[in-house]
Amino acid sequence: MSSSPSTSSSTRVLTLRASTGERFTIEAAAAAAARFSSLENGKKHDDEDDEEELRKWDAGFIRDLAPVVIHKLITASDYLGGRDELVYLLAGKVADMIKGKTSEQIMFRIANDFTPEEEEIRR
Amino acid sequence: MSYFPDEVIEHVFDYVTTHKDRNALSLVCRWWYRIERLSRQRVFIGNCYAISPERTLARFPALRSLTLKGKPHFADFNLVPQDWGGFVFPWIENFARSRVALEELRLKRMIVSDESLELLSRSFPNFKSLVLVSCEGFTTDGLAAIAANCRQLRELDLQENEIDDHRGQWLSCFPDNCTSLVSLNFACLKGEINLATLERLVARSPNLKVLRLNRAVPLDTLQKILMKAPQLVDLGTGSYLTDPHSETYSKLKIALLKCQSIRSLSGFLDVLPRCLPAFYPVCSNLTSLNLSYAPGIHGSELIKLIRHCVKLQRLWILDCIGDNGLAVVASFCKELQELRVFPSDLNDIGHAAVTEEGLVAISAGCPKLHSLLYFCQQMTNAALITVAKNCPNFIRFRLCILDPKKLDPVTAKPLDEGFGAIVQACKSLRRLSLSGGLTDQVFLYIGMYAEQLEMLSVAFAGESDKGMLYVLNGCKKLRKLEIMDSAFGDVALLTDVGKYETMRSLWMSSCEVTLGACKMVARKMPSLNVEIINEHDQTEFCPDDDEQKVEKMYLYRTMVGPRNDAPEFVWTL
Repeated sequence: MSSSPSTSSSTRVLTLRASTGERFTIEAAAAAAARFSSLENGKKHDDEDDEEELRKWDAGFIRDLAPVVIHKLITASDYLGGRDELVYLLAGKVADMIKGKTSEQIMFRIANDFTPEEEEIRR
Repeated sequence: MSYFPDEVIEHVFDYVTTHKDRNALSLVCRWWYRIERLSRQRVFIGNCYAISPERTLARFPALRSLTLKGKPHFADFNLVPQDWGGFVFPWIENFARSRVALEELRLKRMIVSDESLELLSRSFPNFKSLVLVSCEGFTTDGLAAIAANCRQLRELDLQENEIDDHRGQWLSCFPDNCTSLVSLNFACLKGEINLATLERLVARSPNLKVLRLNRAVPLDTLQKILMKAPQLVDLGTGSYLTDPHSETYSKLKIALLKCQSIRSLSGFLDVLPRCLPAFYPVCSNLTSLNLSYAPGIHGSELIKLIRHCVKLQRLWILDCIGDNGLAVVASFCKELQELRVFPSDLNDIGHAAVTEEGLVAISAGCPKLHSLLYFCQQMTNAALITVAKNCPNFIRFRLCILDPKKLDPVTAKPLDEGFGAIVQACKSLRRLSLSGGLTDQVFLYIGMYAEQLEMLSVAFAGESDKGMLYVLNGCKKLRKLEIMDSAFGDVALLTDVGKYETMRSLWMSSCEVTLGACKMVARKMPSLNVEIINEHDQTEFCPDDDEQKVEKMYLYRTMVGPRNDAPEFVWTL
């Protein structure tokens, strides 16, 4: 697995390539990473720190993550293995989305919000 | 359908802990049902007779924490005979045999024997927490077993239990190397306590956060304990009597200044109000204050204490605080969320305690109020309408006018409109207790507006079966309905028997329900236990006379059929 960030002035695109060869592009992560790196004064940017940066996302960012992105990240993480902290973070976020809901609401949310792309792929 | 890999779902479920949420997860799909049931550690059973220990474990093999409730709520008003049931022994015995890794047991209104406690203490090496609320059937011998054998014990919380105090040395049974206690509450014990043992126990419990003492612990010991445990978060004083000029009192004041973490205060079972100022520094940090066992604190001393409690979120108080006292609460306790006003003297209906004025003042001054239990002399519709406008966020609204069927004293009308305003304004209302003069109209309102209502308590209300039917038809989320001395009969009971399967239980006593109707419910709904409780005139009760009125009926849904431990006076149809 490799990750190859490329910096630009306002965005950074993190590309996680799973061992299966699939590639997930996460634009939302880019926006956050940009904000993160601009906030972290004096922090030396390091390729290996991608995981580190993902782990350091603040609660607000986690809160704003779109469900689709969460789904991509969480399934990618699982394939990537060893990304426990990320999985825990994201799992917590998913849990927040389903707490206090009825089973119908959960079903609806999972089916509709998390994986609309599945519909597109099928088409 | 999975959308997420199994391992990921397990991680997600780790964060979902309340039983309501867990139940929702289990219904999403079969996949999730399986993962959920294999990972659920905390199991809540609202009616111990709804399921058996065997089936509980079959579904939740990872069980570590069990909450069980026994007698129905009206047992608090002495309506349920003591030996009606709710025995915990079969659960403990089964779990012990099945080698469950039990860590926590929380029981409410159950019968707990010393034998159960002894078995509990010996069977679960990781046992950490025992919480007993309104239970009975055990003595301090049972507590001694828990103290002696539960090596990992963190919590022993006894709330309002009937415990036979053998005045033994149960506290001494905590071994010298027991240092794990976090919470110890023995306020309801009536007997003596070895004070030196208590001091030593506190001294070797660095994690102790909750300590509630009983009446036998004097102020002198309290002072010594506080010196050793300044980290306490929750304190219940024992007997609070001393000479305010004494050295003991000076030392207590010094000790309390160090107790910066106390957020919850209770006790003062015996009290000399002149010594209360020692607690003023503590009061400004308090979020919870329970003076419902402190009739000795009233008048100006009470007011002075309350003025310091500016962060208070929960207040339990006696009605001798009066309307004026409640006005002071409304001025100073702006963060108040929960208020309980208990009657100080149930026999003296005449004396002026609290009225609608106090409640209106509270509702105007405390915008965060969401839970109320209010025993009062009288109530008016106008007041309730004002309260509803001021506080639309009520989750629990329990009003107990001491004189049953009492009408609005100003208009001489029933309180239908007042309660109607409450249910209409409070969209999140989950629990409601009615009192005062009420016709069928109030039930029409409840059925129409109380969409989130889960529990309803009714006494001396209604005019006809229509009242009860409005509620059964309208309140889709109703789980518990308890009715006493009201004009509801067979038609109300029989119109929609399927509804009872969607509820936990229905209690009806001194209503117009006949034996024949109860038999019909039992016949139509095999998934319900319909119990007739007939403790008094057993000779007069004729099992074949379907026309006779039933004194007490308790029906509940169950997956395990009629129980085999019912006493003679309980007849399951």
